[in-house]
Amino acid sequence: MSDGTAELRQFAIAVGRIADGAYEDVDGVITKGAVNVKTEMIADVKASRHFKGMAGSITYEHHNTPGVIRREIGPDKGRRGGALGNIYYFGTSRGGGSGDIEKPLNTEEPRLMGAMQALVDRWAGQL
Amino acid sequence: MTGDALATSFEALLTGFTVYRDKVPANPSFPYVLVLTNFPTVSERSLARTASARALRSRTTVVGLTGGSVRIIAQKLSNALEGKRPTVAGWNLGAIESIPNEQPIQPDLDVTIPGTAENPLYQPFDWILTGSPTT
Repeated sequence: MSDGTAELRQFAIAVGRIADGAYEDVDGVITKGAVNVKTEMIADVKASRHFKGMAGSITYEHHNTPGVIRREIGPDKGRRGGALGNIYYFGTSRGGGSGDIEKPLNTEEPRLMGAMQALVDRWAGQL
Repeated sequence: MTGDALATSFEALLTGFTVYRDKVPANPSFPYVLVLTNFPTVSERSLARTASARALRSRTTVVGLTGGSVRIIAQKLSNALEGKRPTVAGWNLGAIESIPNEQPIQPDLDVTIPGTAENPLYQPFDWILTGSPTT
């Protein structure tokens, strides 16, 4: 009759295996989400009569640090039209700011949460 | 319980500095705060799909002749709004919260202050107020 030690060891090995790949798994989900957000931001700005010229300036960058997965998405001021980004989204001293910076995030949020849930379910299936 | 009553109640909190609602006149008095408040959109639905909560979003742009002026008015603005809970008939309201937008104080290069060659400085601040109708 087992005292449970062997099962516990197997469980620990399985958890360790999942933990080894977890960072890359989550990084992949976040990257996919960032691409989707960027794509929608570009589509939105292309629909603007006055700001469509800045569409090519919208990029995303990896800002990962140990234990933290982060993407920065938006107009790059170093690219053509990028300096118009703050005017498009936030206006000037006289108003404006017709771009909705939260809309692409709101669109992506349920998709991202679904992908994260699927990832957790996959991990659970490996235990 | 109209959305307009909610927006009006929010904007009524802006006192102690010059406020322009919706648009800025041709010759504004500096410093000022430009406020534009949206109609509250549905942020939550019940199982029956009726609107159970709405979010009121507002953008306030603080404009001044110097960075110091913008910061002083921004402080008054924050004191007037952050954490405040307006009372509006027909609504259960939460507290007003600022939404970080990472925008710096910057010059508006398209505007010249009359009589000078200077540009005004501005910083936008975004706010959200969530509430649910009582009926």
